[in-house]
Amino acid sequence: MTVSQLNQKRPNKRSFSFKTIPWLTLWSIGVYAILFAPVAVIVLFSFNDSQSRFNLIWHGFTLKNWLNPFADPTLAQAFFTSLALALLATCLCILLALPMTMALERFRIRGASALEMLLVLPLTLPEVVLGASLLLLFVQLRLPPGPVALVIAHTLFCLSYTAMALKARLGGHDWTLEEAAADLGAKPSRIFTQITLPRLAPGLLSAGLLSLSISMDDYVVSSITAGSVVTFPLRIAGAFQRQISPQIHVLSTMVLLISLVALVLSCREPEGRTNASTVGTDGD
Amino acid sequence: MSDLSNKAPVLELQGLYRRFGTLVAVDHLDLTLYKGEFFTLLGASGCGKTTIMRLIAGFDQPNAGRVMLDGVDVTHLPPQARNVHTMFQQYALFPHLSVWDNIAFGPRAQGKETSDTKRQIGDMLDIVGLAEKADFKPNELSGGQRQRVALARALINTPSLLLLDEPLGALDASMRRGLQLELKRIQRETGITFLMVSHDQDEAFSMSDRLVVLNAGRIEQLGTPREIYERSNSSYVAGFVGQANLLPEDGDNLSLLRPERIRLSQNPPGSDEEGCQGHLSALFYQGADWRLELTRADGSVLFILLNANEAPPSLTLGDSFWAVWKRTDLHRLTSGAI
Repeated sequence: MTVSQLNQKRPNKRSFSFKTIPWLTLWSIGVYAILFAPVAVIVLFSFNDSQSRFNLIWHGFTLKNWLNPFADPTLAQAFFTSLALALLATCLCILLALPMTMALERFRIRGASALEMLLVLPLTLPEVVLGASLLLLFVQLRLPPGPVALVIAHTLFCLSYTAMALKARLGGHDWTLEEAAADLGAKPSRIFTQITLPRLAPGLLSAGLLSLSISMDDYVVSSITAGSVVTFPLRIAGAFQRQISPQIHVLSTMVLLISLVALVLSCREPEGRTNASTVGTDGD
Repeated sequence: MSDLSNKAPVLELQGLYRRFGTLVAVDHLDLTLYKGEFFTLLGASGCGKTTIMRLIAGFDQPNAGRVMLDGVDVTHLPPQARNVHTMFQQYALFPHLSVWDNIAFGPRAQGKETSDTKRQIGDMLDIVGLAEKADFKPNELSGGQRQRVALARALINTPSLLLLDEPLGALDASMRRGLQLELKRIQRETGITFLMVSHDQDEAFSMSDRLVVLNAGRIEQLGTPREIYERSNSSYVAGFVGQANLLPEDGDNLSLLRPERIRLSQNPPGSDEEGCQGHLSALFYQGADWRLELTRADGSVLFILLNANEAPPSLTLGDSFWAVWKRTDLHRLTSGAI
């Protein structure tokens, strides 16, 4: 879509330039600068040729941190623990969320809107409350804090995000494709693997990456349920008192990139939608 | 299709009934389709035609009644088990598959892909004139080309019956005429029974061997296009399939007089004719013909369609004329008096 098309779409929007409203331009630049300053610092200091234990003062540009991102073994271990945890929780999330959201989109279900609201509700729950209640629940279930509890906890709080992302994608899905496949004689399993899954792949990817970045990022719930397991955010928080190695910045930038890819993918217009909208609809 | 009796029935709907809540979409419908015919369900939005099609395809189940296909009861079989294919309104082509893979989907899904399949797909691409587009994705094709891919995909498994849901509804008016002829040609060449759903009477008339006019889930009339147009049995059918003058006869009865059966004259009607006097109250010049309205002294209006070469040399609003028609051109409606 070109700029002129966008303008045609919103004819009531006024044209804007620095010349016409200079203070608004400066203000906007200021807001964005504040928003992105921390991010910029993280990325910048991942290239810092740090001389002390604390990577806080700029000593010059180097690539050595990026060439040895896993130089700090405990940090590296925490990073991979988090990555494994995130992957596992994400897989579980998708296995749970896909059938659920497909059912909600595809069938007329009594109380569907209530079910959808319940699905999103945990998003509004303060994380501390979620963590505390999970701990209480795990104690009741005689499940000690540790890897299993951690996976369950992460799956739980990622589920809402995954479900929301998938639901947004499924909203644009053309279910007549499944009917067409059935009409041509395809069995349900074949329809799912050859039609539904390939069509949903971009949605699954963006939902997965979103879940991955949220799980990688979690501190509060992990700190309560992790037991002796050390995740990446827990390790960083702990390390800050003794040492801030530049590898923290390198690995954090990597996590940032994952989140960025997730964001870009989830904002992208679902492919094939334009195709369907070019033809008119009528009939009864 | 003059002699249907010795042809095999392909599809029989027996007392088909489907309701959604309190809305009766299909009301005890009986219908038989014979091999090789092009049949149309014609009706306005909400007349139940799409529901009927979904019941035949197996996407929906009736509350009562049966769907018989080639003499076998398929009422409760899933779509996969019915030898019926559908050409969907928006074509429902698989966007991630090429034209070739779209067409090959049917044989592959049914485990019927043999060495012969390749040749069949090639032949089918030739029939629909898309041999060069085999590797294209659906969104790289024009509307008309997509329609042909959908047709090829539905025909490759040689179904007993092909359902077409408003097949030309998504296309520009300018493309329709050509594709109507094309569909008709392909239907003749393949000999497959076509059942089309349409709200467009032009389309239904020009393509169908027989059709039904549906209203509120019921058949208003079944017949050839000509029977339905010239011998409509109700005011609903008469009005739905074209412009109609409904003239009151003795009692409550109405007679149908089509606008093109009327001529304008300065003189009163002759011995085997009828007519009435009035003045021209509307004039529409359409090139090949004139569309006129003649208002009589009692205020009632007569619609007239005059071929250009039958029109008086000058037509002006307010002119007085006799509208004259042959008595044999009047058709008495059997039901549906207003």
